[in-house]
Amino acid sequence: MSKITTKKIIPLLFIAVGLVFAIVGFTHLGFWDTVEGPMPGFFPSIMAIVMIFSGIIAFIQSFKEDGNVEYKAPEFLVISAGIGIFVATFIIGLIPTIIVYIILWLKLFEKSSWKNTLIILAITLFITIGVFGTWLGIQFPKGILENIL
Amino acid sequence: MGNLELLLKGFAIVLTPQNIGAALVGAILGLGVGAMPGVGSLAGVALLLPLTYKFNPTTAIIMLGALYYSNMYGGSYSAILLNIPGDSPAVMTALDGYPMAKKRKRPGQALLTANMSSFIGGTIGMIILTFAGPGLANLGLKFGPSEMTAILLIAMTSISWLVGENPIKGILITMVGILMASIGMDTLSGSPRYDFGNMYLLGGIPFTPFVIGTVGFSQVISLINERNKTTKKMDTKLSIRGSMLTKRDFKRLVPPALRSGFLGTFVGVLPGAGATTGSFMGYAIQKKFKNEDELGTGAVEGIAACEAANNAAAAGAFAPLLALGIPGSGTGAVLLGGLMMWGLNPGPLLFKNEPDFAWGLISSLFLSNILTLIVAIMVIPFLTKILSVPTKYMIPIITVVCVVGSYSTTYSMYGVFIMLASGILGYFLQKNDYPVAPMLLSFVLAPLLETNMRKAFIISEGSLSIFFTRPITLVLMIIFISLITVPIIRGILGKVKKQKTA
Repeated sequence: MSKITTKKIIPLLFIAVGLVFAIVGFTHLGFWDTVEGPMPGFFPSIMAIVMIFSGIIAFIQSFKEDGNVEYKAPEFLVISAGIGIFVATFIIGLIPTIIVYIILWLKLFEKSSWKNTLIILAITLFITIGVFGTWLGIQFPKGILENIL
Repeated sequence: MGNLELLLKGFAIVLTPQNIGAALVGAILGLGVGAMPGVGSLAGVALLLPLTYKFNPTTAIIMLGALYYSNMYGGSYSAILLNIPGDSPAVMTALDGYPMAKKRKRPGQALLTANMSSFIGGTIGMIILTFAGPGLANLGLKFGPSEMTAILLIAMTSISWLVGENPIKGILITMVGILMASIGMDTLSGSPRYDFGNMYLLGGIPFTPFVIGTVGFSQVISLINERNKTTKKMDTKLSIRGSMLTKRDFKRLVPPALRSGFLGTFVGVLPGAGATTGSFMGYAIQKKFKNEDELGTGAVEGIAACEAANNAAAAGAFAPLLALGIPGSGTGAVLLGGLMMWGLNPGPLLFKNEPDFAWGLISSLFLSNILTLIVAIMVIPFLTKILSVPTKYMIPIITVVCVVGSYSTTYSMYGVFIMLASGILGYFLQKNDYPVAPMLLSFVLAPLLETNMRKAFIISEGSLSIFFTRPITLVLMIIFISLITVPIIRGILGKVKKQKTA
């Protein structure tokens, strides 16, 4: 039996998404009104049906595709870092999170020297505080701890 | 008023200290980001999009145009000096650029050949845009909802067909972009849809975080595998004086640059083709001409042909973008999204309703072309340092720019969430050979397609005949149907032929 891989999972997910959009479109939003014509569900429902059909073809094609997709651990580390930044921002605020992220990433993962770590930190803070904060006037979110302090 | 007069009027708008400064900053940043291997023009423009928020719409768009345009120049640097193309259009540049820099020991001349050819190609593209753009818009004024529906279907289908190897995946991903765009408010009635009771979804998927995630953050995830590759050291020191071209070099570069300039512009106008196709075609055509050195061995003609073609295509792509509101590539879609973000609606009425903006933008492209050439020459002595920045240091910097850029466009962590989610989606899609450019294009074009399609059906009272009875619509629908059926028939015929020979 063929293995379940992301090449098969992705079209299946899209078929499921297409089904949800089509059902909501037809049942909740409405497809066609004899007086008003096309309803809010008209266009997305048609597109969802096209998506379901192309998803089915892509799923069938996935059985003929050679080789598995290779995922590497460091790739998921980047994703985890992104999620970590998102969560930590709610706790300690965005700027402290960025400082912690840069130091942890470069010192623990990349094993960079302190000199290079501080240079990259300075560049990043220049972009964040200098360009976005000062020049563009963005107020960065403060986390629970930053608000308490 | 003639096109030239309108262009001069555009120059009067553009030539203010603030606009020149914005174009210059755009040119420098675009060149820098475009030069970094692995980032590319699509991610580059997406990452720098939030920076334009500082300005008024005209200045912002001038900066955005300069960013987009200078990215095309930057892609060739790492192709020539490191044999690593900065973006896909620069793949062909590496074929002759790197041998010219290495074997012939003329790296500076290879860079200047690329710069000069880009300038010539871009200028040709802009001149054609000046004359063809308003003509195309006038034609567009004759278009009703049915014609616009057909033309938008052609744009979406052609990019789904042309990008990537599998058209079905292209169509599937196009539909994903359309459905994502339909979240939020209905385009005609304004009633909420697909918000699933979530107040954030009611506002729809914000464009900038979506683009930053899909092409920026997903790129960072992929870059992690490149981080341990040792950066190639350049043994030669570059200087502006040592990079000057000889008269003979000029004689060799001008004819292919002119030829590719015209060819590239034509390719750029076609939806889905873009700068990469332009570059490939420019190089392929050059092979048919006599070259002083054989192509692939460091020929000036080889660099000139592809660089002129890709910059001309980038300029040519502005014609359908401004006149019909149809971008020809993923980067064009980002640019269109940027224009819409500023409340501008590119399309047939743009030249009529907002001539100051339309001509200001076209004249700003001429200005950007000149500024980028100057910056590109001035930056030559520093290229060794720019290109030797290790990837492992670029990863945390780009990650932070993705987070801060997404936050700054929405003033909410919802923007960061969308960036992360679309980045992870983009990563899985790219890993599984799904092209993301059609998704961006359809995300931007979906509201326009929906509005026109629904209006067409309201006019026809639900009858499909509206798409087959009006002459222009009929021609466009024949093109659309051909675009869908020809690759399928070709595929079936290919299989039959294979079975017969087996």
